[in-house]
Amino acid sequence: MSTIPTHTFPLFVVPFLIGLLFISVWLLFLFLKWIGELDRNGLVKFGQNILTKKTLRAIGEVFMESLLHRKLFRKNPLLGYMHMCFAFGWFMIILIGKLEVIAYSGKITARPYVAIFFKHFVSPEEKFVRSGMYSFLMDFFLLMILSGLFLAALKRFRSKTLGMTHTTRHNRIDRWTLAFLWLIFPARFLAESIASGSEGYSFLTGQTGRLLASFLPVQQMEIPFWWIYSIALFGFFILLPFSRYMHIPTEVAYIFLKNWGLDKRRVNRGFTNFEIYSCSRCGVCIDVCQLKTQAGIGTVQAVNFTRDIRSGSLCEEDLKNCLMCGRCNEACPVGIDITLQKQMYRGQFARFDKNEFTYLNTPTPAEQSTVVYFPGCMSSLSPGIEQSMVKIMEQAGEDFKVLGDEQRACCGRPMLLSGNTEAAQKLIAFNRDFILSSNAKMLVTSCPICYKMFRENYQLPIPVLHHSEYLLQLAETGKIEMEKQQLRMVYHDPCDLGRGSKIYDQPRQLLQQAGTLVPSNFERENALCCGGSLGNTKINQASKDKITKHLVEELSAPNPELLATACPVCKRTIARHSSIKVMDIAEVVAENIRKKTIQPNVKEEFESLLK
Amino acid sequence: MTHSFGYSISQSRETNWDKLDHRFADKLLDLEPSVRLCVGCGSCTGTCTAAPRSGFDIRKVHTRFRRGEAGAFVAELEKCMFCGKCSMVCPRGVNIRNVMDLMKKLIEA
Ligand code: SF4
Ligand code: SF4
Ligand code: SF4
Ligand code: SF4
Repeated sequence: MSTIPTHTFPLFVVPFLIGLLFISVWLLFLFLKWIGELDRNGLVKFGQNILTKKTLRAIGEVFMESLLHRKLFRKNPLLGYMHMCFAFGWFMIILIGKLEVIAYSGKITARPYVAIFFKHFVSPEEKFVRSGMYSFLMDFFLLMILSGLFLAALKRFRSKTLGMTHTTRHNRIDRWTLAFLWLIFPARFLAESIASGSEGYSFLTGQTGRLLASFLPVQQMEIPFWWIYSIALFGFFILLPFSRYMHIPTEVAYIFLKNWGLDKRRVNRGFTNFEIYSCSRCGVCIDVCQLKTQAGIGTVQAVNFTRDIRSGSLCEEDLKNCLMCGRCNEACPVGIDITLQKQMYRGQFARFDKNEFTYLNTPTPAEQSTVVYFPGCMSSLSPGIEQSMVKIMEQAGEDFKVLGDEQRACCGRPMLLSGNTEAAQKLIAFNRDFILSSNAKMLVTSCPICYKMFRENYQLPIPVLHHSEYLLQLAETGKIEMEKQQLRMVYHDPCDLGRGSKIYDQPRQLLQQAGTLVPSNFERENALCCGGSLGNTKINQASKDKITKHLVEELSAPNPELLATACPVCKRTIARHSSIKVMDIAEVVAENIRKKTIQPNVKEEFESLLK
Repeated sequence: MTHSFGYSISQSRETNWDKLDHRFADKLLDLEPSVRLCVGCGSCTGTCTAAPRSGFDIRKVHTRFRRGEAGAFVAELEKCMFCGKCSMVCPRGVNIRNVMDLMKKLIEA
């Protein structure tokens, strides 16, 4: 076979070129549109950080996550490998292909299609600098992609092989896009093999070519196979923006925006789009969702949510049926903050946002104290927690005041979680003034829901402590001491405290002073939701019960004598279904606190008084 | 000459079929079947975070909504903080927060 000059224009490159042009223009248009939708703060961040080393960090992250799929690898090695094969393999083929053309022609200005259809132009006999190495690498990465393709096919037909119980279903566009995607590389493989004919390039296409040439009229078959390859690329490029595969370019852009510090906590349509379209529909979020695994509700998971937004079919019922437990946030390899997105989208169906709470207009000034203790609405349903806290704080000699139910308002987080942002702001403003009027140096709460809210939405000038942190401080500074008991305990991480606020160690350290902690199967980031979540306004009692019963089974498996948790909602929800005693950490501490021995000088004073 | 013997008909307890409209109530029962379980115990109102200061009575609102007096008390819902205590304490598992959401939805639609 002879060499064809690279400035010729074979007709079969036309579909590829049209596809490439289409996708480039489309993506440029769409991304610019979304960037235009960023708010002012977003645009400022964009401008400020684009020329800093944050961009370099983003490039690194794109390489690790979008190409190598490091996080997915950790979640599921086989699935990670599959994605890596496609992403990294394809990237290397494009990169090395370009270098190969440059090495061959000595110019960097070769037409874009030459690299793609290189083996059509350059015959295997023609040698140039490192030509052997190039053709070896090209074959190597092609093989890598083909092996990924094999796994992908396996996943489609037998998802359990790849460690997934549930996988995502494709719609029609997705199926066509997938068909084109799956066609691209086998077509390329055959076209290159045939093009190399009996002369051979490298180990893969060369050997296959030789084999095919031994019994097929390969000369006549080359052009039709290049056509198939080109049409497959065309189809993939044209359909990509309308399919799940839109995540490939979007995720790259998303990583850059994320690294430039755009704040998604602000309702920011532009950035939200980047995040939603970055979902690869990998389905990792399905298996972690207890609504699916325990209650059999399969329409509300993150993957359904992003799909419904993309197709404009988001429905209120599904959107509000989510525990907001954050298990999917933790699992998502792209790092999409699903719960925050849901919270924002719930704003579309917010009916309490105009609530005025005029009855809150005249706050009673808080009494002065160093520590204000905010038990929260839910703690008042479980008075043992508040009583224990009062007992402990008295023993520790703290100067504290309890913000009673009649004085304070709800922290506002349930309002916020239900998308009623404005109404939540009003509750925040009221409580904030009230808390600050006490001139306290520290705010302590025993409710993880309030805690997360205070930390993230109140902008308080004083430290906010969850009671697990606070009690640990008291223990570490010697203000309280505990008797260590022969008590086997399992600790349950509340969602808003663990995943929500990253407080994992303090409750454990505290409990270890009172007894022995035994691990369950669901610890820390992996903890289950109790089902009592206030984030879900739609779930019925029966579904809740299924979720709770499963959790109780798991927590009881190591045969503990006590189930400890650090949230009034978890405590009550678990206790409903547990035969093992359930206690809040404050209660555990209060029960095992060592009575302070009276100091000798105090004792003498006391005795002298008696005389 | 009236002898009340200490009893009288409270206005709010009066049942006047001419004034009742059950369309909203029926829709509410379809959308949140758990309201059928309500026994009127009043735990929801008793625990309500908003009640002490605002006089908000969630049991009254949803009971009368179901009785066919849709709209009469819905403005009261402005007082709710959505804290979820009512749903948490309901001994019958009525999802009251959703009932409130739906009452608003039905009236506003
Ligand atoms: S939300 Fe995340 S975990 Fe779920 S399908 Fe999308 S990328 Fe995968
Ligand atoms: S936040 Fe929890 S309940 Fe909601 S979709 Fe994610 S895993 Fe499921
Ligand atoms: S607590 Fe439940 S059963 Fe009792 S009145 Fe309220 S809704 Fe009805
Ligand atoms: S959610 Fe509303 S009605 Fe229910 S207890 Fe809280 S403030 Fe009261």
